[in-house]
This record gives sequence, structure tokens and C-alpha cells, in this order.
Amino acid sequence: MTNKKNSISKIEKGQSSDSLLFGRIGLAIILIVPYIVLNTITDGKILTVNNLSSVFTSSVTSMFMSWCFCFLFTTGITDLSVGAILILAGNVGGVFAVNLNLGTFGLLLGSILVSVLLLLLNTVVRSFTKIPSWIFGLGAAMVYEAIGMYYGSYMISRGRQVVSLGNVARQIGRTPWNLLIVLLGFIAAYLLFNKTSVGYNIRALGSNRRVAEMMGVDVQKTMTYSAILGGIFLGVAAAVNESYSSRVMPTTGLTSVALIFTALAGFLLASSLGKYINLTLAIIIGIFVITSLFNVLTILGVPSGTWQQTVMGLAVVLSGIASQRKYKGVVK
Amino acid sequence: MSKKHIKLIAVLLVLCMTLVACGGKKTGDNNNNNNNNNNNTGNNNTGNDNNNAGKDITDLKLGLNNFMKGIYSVDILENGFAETCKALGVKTMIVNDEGKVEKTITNVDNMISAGVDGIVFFGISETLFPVVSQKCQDAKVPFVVYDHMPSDENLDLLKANPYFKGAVATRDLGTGQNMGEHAASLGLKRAIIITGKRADPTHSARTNGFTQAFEDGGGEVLDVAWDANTLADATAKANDLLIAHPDVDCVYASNGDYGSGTMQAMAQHTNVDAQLFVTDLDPDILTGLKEGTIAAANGAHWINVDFATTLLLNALLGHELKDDDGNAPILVAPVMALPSEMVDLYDKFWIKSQPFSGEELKQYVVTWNEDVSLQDYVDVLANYSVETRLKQKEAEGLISADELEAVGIQ
Amino acid sequence: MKNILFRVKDMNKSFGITRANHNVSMEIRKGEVHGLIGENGSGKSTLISMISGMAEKDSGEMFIGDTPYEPSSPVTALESRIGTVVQELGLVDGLSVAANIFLGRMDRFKKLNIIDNGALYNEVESIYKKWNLPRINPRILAGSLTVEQKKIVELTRALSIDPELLILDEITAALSYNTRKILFDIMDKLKASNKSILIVTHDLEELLHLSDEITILRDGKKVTTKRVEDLTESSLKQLMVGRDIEGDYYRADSTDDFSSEVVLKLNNISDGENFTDVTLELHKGEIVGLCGLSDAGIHEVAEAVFGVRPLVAGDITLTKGNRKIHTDSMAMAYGMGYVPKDRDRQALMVSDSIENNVALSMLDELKGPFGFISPAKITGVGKKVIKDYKVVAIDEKVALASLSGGNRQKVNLGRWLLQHKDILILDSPTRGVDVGVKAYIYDIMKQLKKKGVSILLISDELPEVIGLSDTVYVFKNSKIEKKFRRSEGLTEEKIIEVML
Repeated sequence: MTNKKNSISKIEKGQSSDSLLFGRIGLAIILIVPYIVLNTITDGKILTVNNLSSVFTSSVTSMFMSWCFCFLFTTGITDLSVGAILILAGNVGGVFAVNLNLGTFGLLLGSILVSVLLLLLNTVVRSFTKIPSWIFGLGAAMVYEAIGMYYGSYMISRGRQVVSLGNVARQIGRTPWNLLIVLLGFIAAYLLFNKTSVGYNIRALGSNRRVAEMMGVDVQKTMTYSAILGGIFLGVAAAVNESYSSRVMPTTGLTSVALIFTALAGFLLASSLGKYINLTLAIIIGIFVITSLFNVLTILGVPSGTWQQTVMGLAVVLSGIASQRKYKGVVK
Repeated sequence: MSKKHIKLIAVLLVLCMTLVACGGKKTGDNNNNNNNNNNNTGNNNTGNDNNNAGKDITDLKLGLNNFMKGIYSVDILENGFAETCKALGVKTMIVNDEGKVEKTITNVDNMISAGVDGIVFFGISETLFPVVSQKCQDAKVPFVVYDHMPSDENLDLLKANPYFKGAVATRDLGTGQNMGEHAASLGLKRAIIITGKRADPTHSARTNGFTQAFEDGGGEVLDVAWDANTLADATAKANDLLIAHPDVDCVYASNGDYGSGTMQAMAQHTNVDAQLFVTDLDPDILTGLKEGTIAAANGAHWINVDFATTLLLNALLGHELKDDDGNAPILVAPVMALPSEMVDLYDKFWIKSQPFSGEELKQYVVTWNEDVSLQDYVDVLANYSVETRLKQKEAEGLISADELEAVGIQ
Repeated sequence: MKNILFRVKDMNKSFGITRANHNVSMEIRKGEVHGLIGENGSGKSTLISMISGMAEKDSGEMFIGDTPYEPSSPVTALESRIGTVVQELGLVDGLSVAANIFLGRMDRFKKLNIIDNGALYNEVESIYKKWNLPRINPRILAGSLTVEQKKIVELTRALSIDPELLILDEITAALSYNTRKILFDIMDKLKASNKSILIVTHDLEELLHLSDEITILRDGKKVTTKRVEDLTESSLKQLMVGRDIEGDYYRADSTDDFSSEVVLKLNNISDGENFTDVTLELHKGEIVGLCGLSDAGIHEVAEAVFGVRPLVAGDITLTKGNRKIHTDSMAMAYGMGYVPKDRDRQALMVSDSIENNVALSMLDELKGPFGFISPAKITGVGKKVIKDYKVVAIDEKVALASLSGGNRQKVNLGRWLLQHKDILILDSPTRGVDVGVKAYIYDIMKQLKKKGVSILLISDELPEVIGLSDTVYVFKNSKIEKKFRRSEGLTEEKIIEVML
């Protein structure tokens, strides 16, 4: 009988709440201690309200993009056109805000509208043509970049630049409003991703499409929802980005793909933290850490363009190693 | 993955690559005439261009490369080229290098294949000049260089090529020096710089120029934030530097977008008491100048592309202009700071319209002025300033003497 | 008809030119266990896929009682209270155990459109309790579970609907002895409440023991349905394969018989997690069997011997040349071959061709004069495996995914046999294969032994271990508990006594 109990208790074994708690405490120490140490080294320049708020402010766009990836990339879709959509949506939002005099509401409306529509369009075309998502994404990125560029060229030919917000709708790109936006974004992402049928279905599709299908997940419907939800978050990202920088220049030559770097690196880092904290929360932490890396290095006096990039590259590799270790720990 | 999928991916990949390679091939071709009209014309050119001698200017087609569409300063140069060609009746072919040097080379090939009579070339990297020079020589296509001045070594190489017809450009080092000197003359001592990639010769030269002049004037550059690629990047990097060095009294941003981003970051750091200096005169920067958030800004005022184009046209029309040594001329477009009180007029005559009217530019082309000489070019560039231009606008009846007086021009 | 809970009539299903089901009809009585058996490729899984809504039928009819039943998806099947645990589907690794159990049916836990996780977890706990299932934390990710735990989750999903009909496809093979017992209790409970079970297993003895009635399929057609009283193990085998099969396909001798030359030594090895202080010797021509409960560490020992699982203590030595094994490439280079338990995940590239799967384990031998791998040689070895080991496939270019489990296993095993390895580690080599293939694999093992090949056999099936091994090591709590020599008196009971 004892043996049976022993055996069953082994079947039950999973992550106990104790180990989870220790993991979280460990994680908190790993994340917080370096900041405290570096803050001391730099005579308290890092942990000031001003600095933290400036790092946070420049991370908000990437946070929303990363939440967009939660819905979009998790279904197994690697859509590389999100960067181009970000630029285009921000400009349309800007036109809504400035030229149509709709202010912040217009900025959000225009950005979300464009993001949702374009991501939906991508989903429809992809499912119709059966083109692998990353190839389609590259093609779509070129088209969306070109649309932005037509607009940019038109403005230049009139001696102007693309829409600039000036003093209109700048609140959501600044503290304290961006704190509220992130809080609302987090609550929405957390609930949608973890606590709705759509969220479950999206995660199921990404993890094992065939099994999910067999368990009754409607693939087409789920993909559509993932585009809509991803689009809303991408739209907010575009609006915040526009509001933060006031003007976003269209680019060509797939340069927009590079825009997703921080969001993607943060998403990967967050995925590796996912063992201890919920992915949607981990994204906030992951993006903040990555953004603050350059900030901390600058304050430390590490030369930019060379050493800062080297350290960043090493950090990416190290977090990759960390996430691999986590993988080995779980798979038995 | 099935073989079918793999085949599909392969086909799409090839298609994508073809698209990438061909992208922008015909961008900006503002004439819908048959592109092949001049297919052979370009290839038959000799160094002396005799076969274009009897040709009408409206038969000519010029190519121009925009290194990266979306960057205001290069886009406005493209716009200047298009406006000049339109005024002179010349056809154009404008290509977008999408910020990649390898694409610049492909695009030169594309323009040659498309049969342009001459190329107005922007070289972002020193390594491009020998390659493009050779390509133009092989294809017998005359070319000029605009905006970015090649190194002395490359200039010697270019001069040895009979198809090189001259350069009208700015020395980026000088652009940075101009701002550095200005900042030092105001007694500023501690500076930070927000700039582009280290490998970008424009930004590294401006940064070096500023540093040199500022430090010669008794100041010190505390830190440089390289790699600001977008306006948002510049804002974040400027934020970081302002936190690291709250005691600075001078900030230099090496182009318009970096300037806009820095301006926004500075607005958040009320504890920092510093003056901002920017190179490039785009609408945002003009606003900053006007509002006083930017202490001074400079730029080449986008005119070098106009004169590079007319220089090339003269050569194509058989009236090649050479310097005293018989070489293709190297002309340096002056750089100067824009006083804040002239911002509105600058916006009107440089940004919303062209500083040199079509009629004025015609005087620098043999078709309309058979006596045009290199000296005319040297003179116009030497006399070029915001003031002289505005006076010319007054002569054309576009501005009143009172308006000029209001900004301090008698 | 009153006693019939479920029936299928004239079911047909084709895949290309293969007729997987050809006019199959079957009736399942209320309160009974109905067995379904046939060789690999006989059409059992196809029939089950159609019943459980995973595949569409070409033609035919299905009825629950007298009501026509047309499942359009697995969820419709669940709604009709037909729960299925299939052989090779698995779980969504990225979701929690609870989410896997209720995926596609989450709406019932919604409060203001938000899923109430508390209610979800409670529901799962109550299902565990109701059916006396071993508790698997409903909050953890399915990806962190063992094969057995995953099967239990799949079973919980099928039981969550209070099934009228529970379909179990090859589930027992993945379960340990004690979990099997729990399953049998569940089956009894269902029977007692007049529910039915359709069970598929290759274990004839188990099938005869559990079923009330058995339907036999062969080549996509029904051979017959018989009451279990009218069947014996050998008559069942004969009906399945259509010819007589030897009554005993294990070894005929009852004493150990091998050379005294030690070829492999495991010296106090531990991996720090699954097994500790394992010491044993493998002799030339010896079959050493390892058995134990599912978490006793025997499968991990196999991985360690082949160098794919790192050790924290001890060493593994090949006596020939006194070489220590640290990596799988060393193991392969020094004459070892390994057939892992999870064939499709650990051993084979199922979406790739037979020839490429064979070639991967022997690339060095396939190099041409300039060091390039010769496509002709790859095709050659592919063809040879098909021919020598009787793999049923159109040619060597077809993907393994299109082969039945048994044929995949022949490829898996064949590629090592082709290389004449001195030592083979065979982990559950007959898992999920039919009697025909099973007999064939046993026969090969016996021949290999005669040729002096040493075999480390790891198996959850005690008759197999007893029937083939010269020496049996019984594991308990990650250690060797007892060693048995092959002898007349070695029985399952004796081993079980040590295991528990």
C-alpha cells in the first residue's frame, strides 16, 4: 500500500507551490539586485523616478507589440509585417488625430482600425493561399511599407513631412497616462490570454494544432480572433509610438522588420520567465529589462554603437541559454 | 513539410528576391514616355559626349539614387532633383536604395540598363565611389556626385574617369564643425551628441567635426549616443544621456529626426539646462528654431543636387565645364546656420518651393545660356546665403522689402 | 436491439487506393466490454476515428441505440457522450492539464465571459475523485507530464462526459501495472452502470481477460464477432492473421545460456534523478531484461547506456578496448544500437522517408570515394531494410507517417540490424505492434542472440521480459531491487512481488 501511494504521489508530482514561490523569489532577486548594485555604482542615477519613468515610457510600444505577439505568434503565425503595420497604423492614427481633429480618440481609433484590418487581411490571404506565414509576412511588409512611402513622398513633394502630432494626443505616450494604458493593457491581455475560451484556443493552436483541432478548436475562427485581438494590441502600440515620438517616418527595404526586435526579444525573455510568472506579466518585465539595458549601459559610460551592442548580444544569448535550461528542467 | 511545400517556398523565395532586387526600379519616373527611347543613347556616350551634342535637352533622361526613402533630408534632395528636371524638361528615373549599399550598386546597374543618359549619384559610403565610377565608365554613362563629398583619395580616382563630370556636395565634417564652433562661441563647455551609425560617413563626419571644433573652442564632448535609427530611438537615447550627464550645457543632434527626438527628450528633463544644436532644416526643426527650443540649426539648404544636375546636363549637351587643370569640377556647397527669425521665410522659399526658380537654373544650362561657365557656378555658390536668396525673391516680386526688413535684411 | 448501445453498419473508408474499412458492421451491447482486434493496418484505428468524429466516413451508418449518429467533430462525439482515448494523438503541451481536459468545452466555466479557473480546477478534481483516478495537478502544463500521465489526462477527458461509450485505443500499453488496475476498476464501474467500453489492445491475454465480446478485423474487413467464451489466445491469433501462429513465440529454453565474456559494464551509475547506483554486466550473446513500475527508472537507464542521458556518478564501460561511453556518437561508433521507447518522438523522423531514416544512423558507411554521401547507397539501404525486415510499404521513398506502427518499428529496428551492431538496447520494442510483428521481432532477437549479439531489453510487459531474457533485473524506487536468472520457476508473480 505504501508503495502504491509512493508511486501515485510520483504521478501527482508537478510544480509544487513551494518551488514556485522559491522560483519567484529567486527571479525577483536576480532581477532586482543588479539594479540596486548598478544604482550604487552610478551614484543613484538609475533608480530615480525620472530615469525609471523615461525607460518605462520608451518601453510601452514594445510591451503592446509583445502582447500582440501573444495572440498572433502564439498561434504559430510569424507575421513579419507587424513592424510595417505599426508605422502605417501610427500615421493613419496621426491623420485622424490631427487632420480630422479627433485627438487621442482619433489616434487610437485610426491606429487600431488599420492594425486590425491589415492583420485580418493577412489572415484571410494566408489561409486562402496557404503561403507559409513568414514568407507572406515579408511580402506584406514590403507592400505596407510602400503604402506608407507613397504617403511620405506625397508629403515631401509638398515640402512637408508625414503627419506630426505636435501637441495633439501626446498624453498616452507619456507618464502618467502611459502607466494607466499599460495597466489596462495588462489586465486585458491577461484576461483574454488566460481566462477566455479564445485565449485557450489560441494557445492550444500554437502548441499542437492537430490535437487542438481534434479537441474541437475551430481553427479558422480562432485565427480570425487572434488577428483581431493581436490587431487591437498592435493598434495601441502604434498609437503609443506615434504619441511618444510625434512623427513616425515610413521606411522601405524591410527596415520595418527591425522594429519588432525589442518586442520580440522581450517576448522570448518573457517566455523563459513563463515558468514562474504569467506570460502577460512577464512581458512587462522582459521588455523593461531589455529597454533598460541600453539605459544602464549608457549611464555606466559604456560606449554606444560598439560595446553596448556587444553586451546586448551576449544578454540575448544568455537568456536563450536560460530558457533552454528551463526547457530541460520540465521535459522528462 | 511536403515536397510540394518546399517547392512552393523555393518559388516564392526566388520571387521575393527578384522583387527586392527590382524594387524601386522605376520609382519617380515622372514621365510616362517609353523608357526604352534612350536605351542606346547612354551606352553610346563617350567621355566627350559628342553624340548628345545635337540633342535636345528634353530628349535626355537622368537617373538619381535616393539612398533611403523616408529620411527627410534625402527625400527633399530627391524632390529638388525632380523639381529641377521638371523645370528644365528633363526626364527622370529615381531609384530607392533602401538604405543598403549593395542595393545602391544594383540600382546603378538598373539605371544603366534602363538607358539613362547620365546619373546624379549619392554615395553614402566611400567604398561605393570606385565601384560606381567603374560601372559608369564601362557603360559609358556620364555621372556627377551630389551632397556627400567623396574623400580626397576617391576624388582623385573619380577625376581620372572621363565620364565623371563633377561634384557639388557638402563636407559633412564642415557641417559638424560649423555647429561646434557656434556652440563653443556661446561659451558652452559640456556637450553630448545624438547621432546615427558609426559606419555612416555622414554622421560620423558630422560628429567628428562637431567634437573637433567644440573641443578646440574649449569645450568637452562627454558622450556620444550612436545608432539612433529612428525618431523614437533618438528620444530614448537622448533620455539615457541626459540622465547620465545632467550637467551638460550643450546637445548636438546630427540630423533632423535625431533633433526632433532630442527636443522631446529635453522637454522631459527640466533639470537639465542645455542648448540644442541640430544639423538639417526640416519642418520640425524649423518649428523648434522658431519656438526657441533649438538654439541653432544648419544645413546645406538642399541646393547641391540642383547644381550637380545642371552640371551633368551641360556635359551631356556637349558643353562640359572643367576646372583650370582640365578636370571635372569639385564644388563645395556652403553650410550655414539659419537665424531663427528667418524660419518662416525659409519654410516658404526653401521647403514649400525651390530656393532657385526654374528660370534662374536655366541660366546655368547651355541650352538657355550658351556662355555658361564654371565661374558662374563658383560665383553662385560663393554668394549663396539665406540673405542673398531672399533678396533675389524680392527682385522676383515674391516678397516685399518690408518683409525683408522685418527679419533684418536691408 | 434493446441491449445494443451502439452499432455501426457497413462502414467504408478509403485512403487513396487503400480501403481501410470495407463494409464493417459491429454492435456493442450495453454493460459490456467489446474488444476490437486485428493486425497493424487492419483498420481498427480508422473505425475508431470515424466513431469518435476525428475522421469522416465515406459511407455507412452509425447509431446510438436507434438514433442515427453523425459526429462532425470530436466535440460532437463528446456531446453524444462517446469518449475516446486514442493511441497516438496526445495533448496540447502548452496548456494546463485542466485546459486539456476541457478544451473546446470551456464555455461552461465562463462568468462574464471570463473563465473561472477555480471552477475548472475543482471540476477536474471532482472527476479524479469520482473515478478514483491518480491525481495529476490540473494546473501544470501537459508538456511536463510523462507518457503515462498524459494517457491518464486523456482518460480523464474521456471520462469527464460520463460516457455512455468509452473507447480505449491501445491505452494499457502506456500504463504501469498499478494504473492499469485503476483503469480496470473504472471499466467495472462503467459496466455496472450499464455503460459500454470498446477496447483495442495488442495484448491478447488482456483482451480475452477484459472483453465480453470481440470483433476481429483483417485487411479492413470484419472477420467475425465472437463471445469471449468461444475464443482462445491461439484461435484469436489465427483469426487475426488468417493462419496458424506458433503457440509460444518466446524462447523455448528455460535456462540462461550465454558466453562468459563481459561486453558492457554499468558501474554504479546514477543520473541524479531517475536511477541510482545501477551496476550490471552484459555478456556476449546475453539478453538482459530490465523491468519495474513505470517510474522505476528503467527507461532512463537505457538512455544513459546509449549516452544520451548524462550521468552524475558511475561509468559505463565497453570491455572491448576498455572504452567509456559518454555520448551517443561514441556509443554508435563502438557498436551499439538503440531503439527507444517513444518511437515517433525519440527515434524516427516520421515525416521523412524510410531511406533517410535508415541512412541517418549510418551516414559514415554511406559515403562515396570523395566523402560525399551517395544517394544510390541511401536508396540501397532503404530497399534492404524493406526487403530484409518485411516492411509493408510502396517503396523506400514514402514517409514513415504513412506506415503503420508495426512497420515503423521494423524500420526502426532494421536500421540497426543492418549495421551488425554488437550491443542492442531495445526499449519496449513491441510497444504498439500487432502479434505478427511481435513474433517477428522476438524471432529476430533470438537469432541475434545466437549470433552473439548482446541485448539490453527494457520492457513494461513482464511475459516478454521473462520469455526472452537470460537475466532479469527488477527495479524499484530507482534502484535494482533484485536479479533473477532465467529458470523454469521465474513467473510474473515473483517479479510483481519485488516490484511492488
